[in-house]
Amino acid sequence: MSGKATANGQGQTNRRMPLKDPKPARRRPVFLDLRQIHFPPQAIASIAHRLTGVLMILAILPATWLFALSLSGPEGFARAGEALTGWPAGSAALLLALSLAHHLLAGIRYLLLDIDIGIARTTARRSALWVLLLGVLVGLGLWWGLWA
Amino acid sequence: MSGLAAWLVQRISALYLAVFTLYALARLSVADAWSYPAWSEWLASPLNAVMLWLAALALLLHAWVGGRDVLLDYVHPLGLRVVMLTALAGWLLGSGIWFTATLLEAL
Repeated sequence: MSGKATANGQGQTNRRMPLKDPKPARRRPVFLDLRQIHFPPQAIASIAHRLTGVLMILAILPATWLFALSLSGPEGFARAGEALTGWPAGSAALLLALSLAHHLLAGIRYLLLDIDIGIARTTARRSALWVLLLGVLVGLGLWWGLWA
Repeated sequence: MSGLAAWLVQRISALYLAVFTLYALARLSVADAWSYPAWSEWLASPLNAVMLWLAALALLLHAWVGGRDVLLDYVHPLGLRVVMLTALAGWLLGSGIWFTATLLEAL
């Protein structure tokens, strides 16, 4: 990792770091060059947890619409089914299946970390890698199972 | 909602949602072919309806706490922040009211 700063701010100081705030008391190094920051698996899992959460929030209102349509009678149920076929709905479903799988697995990891299970750095790194890998596999399986 | 309350709500709702999601997926995998009668009959059972409504409540609270955290972290200009927080609240509240009305009608 020589020469690279870590995302948690423990990296070496960098001469090119701008000192932004003119107030001396608040003058602290800011290093946000995304091309140079090294992201460990834990950080990638953290960002993915946020991203997948936001994606699923965007799906809440459309899902409510589908729910209401599917209960409006046999005809509405059929129309809801039609709305779910085709490649645009299929790709949205794939994205949401991947999101749900990752968000759920990463969430279980955070609940365990909360009670100090797997908190050691090497363990946390390994479990983050597993969550990233399994999230994709389970997500694909979920999509396959529900869509095919 | 902030601080310890938000932290607790996020974790309790997460637990309920995790259990409910696994139950729903298991239930879906053993279900016969999709049909309107089976779907409306499943929801006519008060136990199922209450479980689903609680899941929706947990989902909306979870989405509010999480979405609020994301917005507070990344959206700094005050005006834009207020607009986006309001939009998020409206998005979730609107969904919740619509969902509850649909569920009450289906009972």
